[in-house]
Amino acid sequence: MSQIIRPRNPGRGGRPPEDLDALLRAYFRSEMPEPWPTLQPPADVVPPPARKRWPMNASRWVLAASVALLLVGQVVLSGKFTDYSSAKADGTFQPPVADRNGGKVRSYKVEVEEAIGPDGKVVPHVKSLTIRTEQGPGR
Amino acid sequence: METKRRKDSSPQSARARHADFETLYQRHGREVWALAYARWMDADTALDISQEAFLRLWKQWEEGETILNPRAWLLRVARNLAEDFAKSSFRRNGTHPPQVMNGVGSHDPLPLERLEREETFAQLRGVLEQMPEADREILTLRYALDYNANEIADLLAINATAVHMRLSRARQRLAERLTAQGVVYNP
Repeated sequence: MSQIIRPRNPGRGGRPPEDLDALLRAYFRSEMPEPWPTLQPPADVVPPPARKRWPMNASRWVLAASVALLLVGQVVLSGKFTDYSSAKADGTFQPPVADRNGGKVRSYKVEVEEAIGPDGKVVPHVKSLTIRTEQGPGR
Repeated sequence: METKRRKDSSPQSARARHADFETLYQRHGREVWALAYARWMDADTALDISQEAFLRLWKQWEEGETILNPRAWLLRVARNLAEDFAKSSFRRNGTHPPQVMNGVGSHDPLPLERLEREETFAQLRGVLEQMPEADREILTLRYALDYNANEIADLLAINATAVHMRLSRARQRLAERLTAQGVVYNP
């Protein structure tokens, strides 16, 4: 197939069909990979050893316990503390909470004095606690 | 495609599968390549598609499937892969084909004969790309694999008379287009 040439005069025609056969054969042969490449199948994959079930169960238990602890802690601790950040200089403050009758608490006044405890140490002692509220709709 | 489940992971079975695979690849690799080539007219793409088809066959075997007609299975998978290639991002956004470099001059002088041959082949490729895929398919099988009408009929699941007819028409269309483009060829 060494004599395939591009013509200088394209107007020429009437070529025998074996010319086309030779051209096609040479073309497709040149396109086909030679030598034909080998293809090795991938190596057999050894499956990893089966994992024990307990680590997954343990992690799930830890997660469940953590969530439960978080919820319980939120419920318990939410009633333990009061926001004292708005306390005034005279010892009163106005927390934005309502009493159980629906009245809004206007202020607290707490008087604290020092006292001697049973073990002889000085401990704070609440002398008086004054709560002023507005009457709620429930009363 | 009819398949059956089997489970046999013994070393003897693995060796037998390797041997079967090699045999199938040697026997049908070029056929699969030819079908993919007829679709895309690109030798490297066709080789990628044919090797992917064989690797999928191997994977099926590894998963315990027995493919009753591997040749038909491979040809079908190769056709599907060739179609999927049209949708792949690599084709849409990938690198340029080697033909793009045809117009780039080289500092190394090329033999005139080789240059003329490359030009003729490039023109032929251009004409083939414009022809119907069915024409390209039958021409590839005939001239790349040297298959006769019966072998082509067997592979394409049509009768030999239809092969003769399709091949004759494809050659005629090709000759007309080559003549129209002024491509002259001498054996």
